[in-house]
Amino acid sequence: MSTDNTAVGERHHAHHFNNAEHEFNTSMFGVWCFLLTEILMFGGLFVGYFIFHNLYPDMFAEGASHLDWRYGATNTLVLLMSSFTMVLSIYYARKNNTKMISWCLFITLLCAIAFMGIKYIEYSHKIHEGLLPGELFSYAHAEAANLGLYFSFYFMMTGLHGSHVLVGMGLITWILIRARRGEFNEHYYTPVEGVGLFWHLVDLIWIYLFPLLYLVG
Amino acid sequence: MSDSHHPVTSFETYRNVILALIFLTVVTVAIAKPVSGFDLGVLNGALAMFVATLKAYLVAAYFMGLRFEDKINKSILIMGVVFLALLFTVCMFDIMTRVPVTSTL
Repeated sequence: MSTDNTAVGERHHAHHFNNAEHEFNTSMFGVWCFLLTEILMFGGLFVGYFIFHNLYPDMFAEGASHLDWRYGATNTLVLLMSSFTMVLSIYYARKNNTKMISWCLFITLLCAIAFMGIKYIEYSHKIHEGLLPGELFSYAHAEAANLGLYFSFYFMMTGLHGSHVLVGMGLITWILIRARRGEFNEHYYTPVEGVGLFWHLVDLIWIYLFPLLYLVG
Repeated sequence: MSDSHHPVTSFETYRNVILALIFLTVVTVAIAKPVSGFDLGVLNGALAMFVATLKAYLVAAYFMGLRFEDKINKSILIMGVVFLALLFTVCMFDIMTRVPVTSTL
């Protein structure tokens, strides 16, 4: 992995690339291919959700009534803000402002922690009530006979998304450490851009998850 | 140079995008039946997805930089969406045209 920076002008690039821009574009292409696989993975779950929502609309409305939309809306705003600070870290890298790169990455990380905190509160409440996926469903006051199906979707989709948030937090921590070492500047910010793209995808998925799980009436 | 082909997007642009996203989130919540009682029947879901797609477009175009990037990366994202739409459409055709079978045993 090429992390050497020449102080001025063109930075060092691996020998099998024509120049640094070629290496950067190749890295971005690779990240986008990976994001494509993520879209298809989550997409499969969304397709399953749409099919069963169409088959059992009332059951899905009942399931959504057990979710607090205020937690969901707060989490949406938290993730949108984290995307904003994430893209700002790239902006500041291109402006050679090392201090602001670190600050923006740190705030992104704080937003991610806040998101997981709210998720923890929500999950605790569901576990306490017995609103659990599949065979674990033990809620006593369900109207629909198959309400457990809703919570299978809820836990599968938010769980997979939450695990992506956790991985994202690890990645952001990694580039935060590198940023504090002064490794990023206008000539080299590839890892920041790459992690940023992954983080924006996590945000994109939540943008769809929120109305589909919380706002069904 | 890491990317000599596109200029740095301005702070103001990013700020405007996040403000638009916050506004659209408020809209999302305001048009939701469990929150405000806003009820257009089937259209509720379609409207919610339309607003979500608007937000997704803003994130993809500006935060992910697709507006200013090479076509190849845009194509990858669009390809994913197209194949998902294909999966969804074919599955829905299947499910919606199923006739329940009643046993005579």
